[in-house]
Parts: sequence; C-alpha cells; structure tokens
Amino acid sequence: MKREVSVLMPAARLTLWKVLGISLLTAGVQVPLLLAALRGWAQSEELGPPALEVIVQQSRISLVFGAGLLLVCAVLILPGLERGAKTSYTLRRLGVGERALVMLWGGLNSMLLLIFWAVQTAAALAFSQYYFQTTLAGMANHQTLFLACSRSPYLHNLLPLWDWPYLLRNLAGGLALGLSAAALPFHWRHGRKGWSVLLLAVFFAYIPPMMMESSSFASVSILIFVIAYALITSNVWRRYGDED
Amino acid sequence: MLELKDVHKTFLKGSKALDGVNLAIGPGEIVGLFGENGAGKTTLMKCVLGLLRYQGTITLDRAPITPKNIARLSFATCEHSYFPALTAKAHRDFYREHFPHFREKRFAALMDFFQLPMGKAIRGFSTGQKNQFEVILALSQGADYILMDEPFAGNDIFNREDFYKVLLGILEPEETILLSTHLLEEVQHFIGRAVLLHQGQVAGDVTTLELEEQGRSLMDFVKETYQYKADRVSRALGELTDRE
Repeated sequence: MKREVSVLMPAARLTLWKVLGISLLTAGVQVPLLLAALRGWAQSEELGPPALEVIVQQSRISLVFGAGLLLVCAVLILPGLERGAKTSYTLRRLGVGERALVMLWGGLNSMLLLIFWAVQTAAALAFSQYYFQTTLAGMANHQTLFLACSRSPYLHNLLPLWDWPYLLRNLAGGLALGLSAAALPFHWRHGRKGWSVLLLAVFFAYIPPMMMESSSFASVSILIFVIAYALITSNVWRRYGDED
Repeated sequence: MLELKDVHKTFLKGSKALDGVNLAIGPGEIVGLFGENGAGKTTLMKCVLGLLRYQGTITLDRAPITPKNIARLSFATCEHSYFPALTAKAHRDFYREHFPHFREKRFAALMDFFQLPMGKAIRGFSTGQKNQFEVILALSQGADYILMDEPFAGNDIFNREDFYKVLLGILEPEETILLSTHLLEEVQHFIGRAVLLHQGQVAGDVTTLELEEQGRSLMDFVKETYQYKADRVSRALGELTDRE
C-alpha cells in the first residue's frame, strides 16, 4: 500500500500547488465580478434588492468557473507528459504497473478537482454571507441560501445540497474527468490519441452551469460519465500493449 | 543470466531494428555494445526492459521479464528517465520505496563525489549534472543488470574518466553492465567484452582478453568487423578535387 501511495508523489508535487493557485485565482476573479454586479444593481433604479441568484447570473461567474476548471485539467495532464525527460521509462519499470498507475493518478486527479470545487463553493458561500449581511440585512434567513441554491443553475450545480442525482452527477463527473486526465498522457506515451478529457471537461465545466437543467438532465449526465469512466478504463487495460 | 534468443523488432513503419539477435550476458560482466547509428543498440535495450514489443525470447535467469523481476534491471539513458520536477532527495525516497534493494549508501557517496545538490529540482541541474544523476540512479537502484545507453553524452572527458574509475571501484562482483556508447577508445580498458551490432544483427562478439591475446585493439576489431575502408575518405576527396 505504501508503494501505491508513494507512486502518487511525483504527480502530487507537480500539481497540488498549481491547482490550489488556479482555484484561488478563479475565486479571486469571481468575487470582483460578483461585487461589480452588485454595484450595478445599486446604481440602477430598481426598487427592491435583487435575489442572490440574479446577482450570480448577471456576474457570469460560471464562465470563470469553466475557464478555471479547464486550466486545472491542463495542469492535471502535466505529470504524465514527458517534458525534459522520458519519465515513462521509470514509470513502466515500477512494480505497481503502468495501468494501475493511471488509475491511481486518476484518483489523485479527482481529489484535486474536489479541491478546486471546494474553493469555488467556499467563495460562493462567502459572497452569499456578505450579501445577506449587507444588501439583504434583516431580510435574509436560513432559507434564503437554500432558495438561491435551488433557483440558480450555477449554485445548484456547485452545491446541490440534498439533491442526490446532482451530487452523484458531480461525483461521477469528477471521477471520469480525473481518470481521463491521467489516461491522456498514458495514451500519448504509447503513441495514441486520447482527447476524451477535453470533451468531458467542456461538458462538465460549461454545459450544466449555463442552462437550467431538467430533472432528467442529471440522470443522463450520470450515465454519460459512468460510460466514459468504463470506456476510459477499458481502453487503458485493453490497449496497454499497443505501441510504437 | 540475461538471454536474448532470436529477437526481432520491426517498427510499424516497416523498418527492421533487430533481426534475430542472440546474446547471453552473465552476472558480473561489463559489456560494451557498439554499432553505427541505427544499428539497433537502443532498441535492443528497450526490448530487454519491456519498453517495446518484440518477437523472440528475452529471459532473466530463465524467467520472462515482468513487473515481478523488472527491478533487477536498471536503465540510464541519454534521454533521461528521472522526474525533472523532483529533487534528488525526493528521488531517493521514491526509489527506496519502489526498489527493494536500493543502495542508499552508494547513492549518498556518488552524490557527494559529484557534488550534486540534494535539495534542488533536477531540471535546474546542468546537462553534465543531469547525466551524472541519471547514472547515479541506475547504479543505486540495486539492480543486477545495469543498462546504459549513451549515458555520458554531453559530459566532458575528465568527467567521463572520473565515472569509469568510480564505476570500476564501486561495482560488486555480481553486478552486470551493458553499456552502449560510441566512445570506443575511452571504454576499451573498462569493459571486459565487446558486442557489435550491425543492421540489427550481432556482427561481432569478443572479450577484451581475446583481443589482447591476438594483439589487436578494440578499434582494430571494430574496423575489421565493419570492413571499414580507411582510404574511403581520401579517395572520395581525391575524386572531388579532380572533378573540380
């Protein structure tokens, strides 16, 4: 088991700080956008304060979230790329086995995606708190955030609360995307293509936050991510011997 | 005993890299692997390490080379196989975890001898230092068979001399070296056997003791095996100047 954990070290050292940096940078871009949207409302002639979900939609922070997620995916691919050295010569001589390594790195990638997700959620919650205490002072209660999370597609995707299909969709998406980011450099090392990560990242990052989802959308998404995960795993296992 | 029987390797584009190689290398031998560019030296090593698929049989003490016994082989290559972002200290920890016979004392002694920093990422090393570190890893892995593919490309003559001396001083009787290089004259006093590859086949195989008994140098042997025509250049130049 110690070996399996140790094999994560080269990847973790290359990615952890970068992912944290991108997560904080993304949150750092989102907060001014939210504040700008809030200031835009203050200068308008509307009577009552807008709902949190309106501010979130007007600030377009979902686009920034998507860009951040794509950047994180690019960083997750880095450890498997051979820049300056043929590290695969070492990776392929380990007792762990290269295929197991892809699965382990896939798991690590999913954890790093979770960190990105957590930072974005923390930023959204911090802004919500600020909004409730200032603009909605005296009018907000513990239901206000719950309502905002169910009305705003972005917030609902980020923090589905007890909406299990959405929680499962996020989990399946994170696992599939993490594995895909580990499988891409594996296929490149063996002289093949493996661009599923790009399709999955775009699907995961951009489509859900930008559209109001129907109830069946989460189920279809789960199915897509589960199938993607199975296909990526099978491709790594089946095509291990192909090369040149 | 490392044994290759009728090993063939043809790349997807159709070029034949190895064409029926038969070779047996016993424990404790120091073997020089020579041949012109494209003779198949690197391909042979990669086949032994399982980095390329091949036809034929390669065994280590009569057992096929699998993740179970791959740790008995180490590899130093001019392409480099370390992790550029990791420090020497992190490499030591990683190797200690994955290679059960890692020679920690030897690693520390060689790092000290070549005055390489333990806490600096390898990508920050000079070309010569990177080569040194690559070889140090291969020598410290605790492998029985150490494969080296042009490991000193880019190192100056003094550096290489140091390395040959250190190698001879630290190798234990059961450790085997297979060294691929073009630096014939430099290594002739260091190796015990020379194997010549030509167009993917073993064109010559001789011990340095046999050469000594015959009163021939390694260079003479190579020239004879390749039927090198010494007057080829002067004739070509003569024809060229006549024409002009």
